[in-house]
Amino acid sequence: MKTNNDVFEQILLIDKTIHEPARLFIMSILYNTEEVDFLFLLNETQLSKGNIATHTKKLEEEGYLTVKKEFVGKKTHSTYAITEKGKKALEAYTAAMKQMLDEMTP
Amino acid sequence: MSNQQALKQKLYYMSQRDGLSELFTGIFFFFYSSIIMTLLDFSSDAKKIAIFTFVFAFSGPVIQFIRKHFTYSHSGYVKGKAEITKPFLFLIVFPIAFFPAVIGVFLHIFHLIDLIGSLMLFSPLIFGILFFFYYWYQYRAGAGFFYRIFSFVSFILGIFLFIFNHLLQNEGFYVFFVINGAVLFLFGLFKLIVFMKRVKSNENE
Repeated sequence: MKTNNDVFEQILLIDKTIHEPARLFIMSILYNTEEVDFLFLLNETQLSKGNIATHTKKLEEEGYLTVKKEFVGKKTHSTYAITEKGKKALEAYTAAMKQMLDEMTP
Repeated sequence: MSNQQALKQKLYYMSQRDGLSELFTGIFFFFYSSIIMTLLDFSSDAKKIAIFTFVFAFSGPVIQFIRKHFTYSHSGYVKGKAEITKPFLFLIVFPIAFFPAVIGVFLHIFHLIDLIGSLMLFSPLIFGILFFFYYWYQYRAGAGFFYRIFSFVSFILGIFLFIFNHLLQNEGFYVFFVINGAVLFLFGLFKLIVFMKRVKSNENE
């Protein structure tokens, strides 16, 4: 049986980049699609444009997603896709969370 | 059903909202039936139709381009993850795709006219079963409730055309594909019209 200290250690080891709700939502969408654009994320997540830009930048820095920027006419069009590293990180995160919640709840 | 599966289905559905897949598949079915007819008639138009079909077989990138730049620029672009499982590929897609090839080989190389006759007789039933699973798979992937209806209607249509195939001079498969093609084309057109009425916006606004 695990002690409280073991559980706390597990909590500290949780991937904090993914743990943030908005980023978790973005990652869940990307995990189940091949690619999405900025507008789609905006409509689905109901976050502000600034928030999406910040969170996707953070995920990109971690290597969890790739961003492809191109011009459609005179307008910017950003497309996002999850990377292999991102897929593995999300799978590891969900597995860790499930295990931890099982151990914490009676 | 898990939340993960529900999300996957929802996203797949959203990636198919503009009806382009149905439009292209509908047109493809029209020409597909023409290919089989051409093979049976020894027509000289076979090459033209074969090239046309070849282009349609690689219509995926074309659809994605139209989606990214025209239809989905309205509401946000999403490319769904279509998980094509091996049983679906080998038991449903390949038999449908290689049916003309089988006819071509049996008829033109081995001259097995009797075998082709039997194949033609049972073809509406075969396609009815294949299309039942084809539409059902689409429905399970999240393409929408209409696909559930399509699967059962196709199966019933296959049986119906098999029973009356002799009245159609064993060309029931042709009617089967024309009806399926027409239904999918009109369904796709309806979806496209509804979809394009959405409010237009972009990330720069």
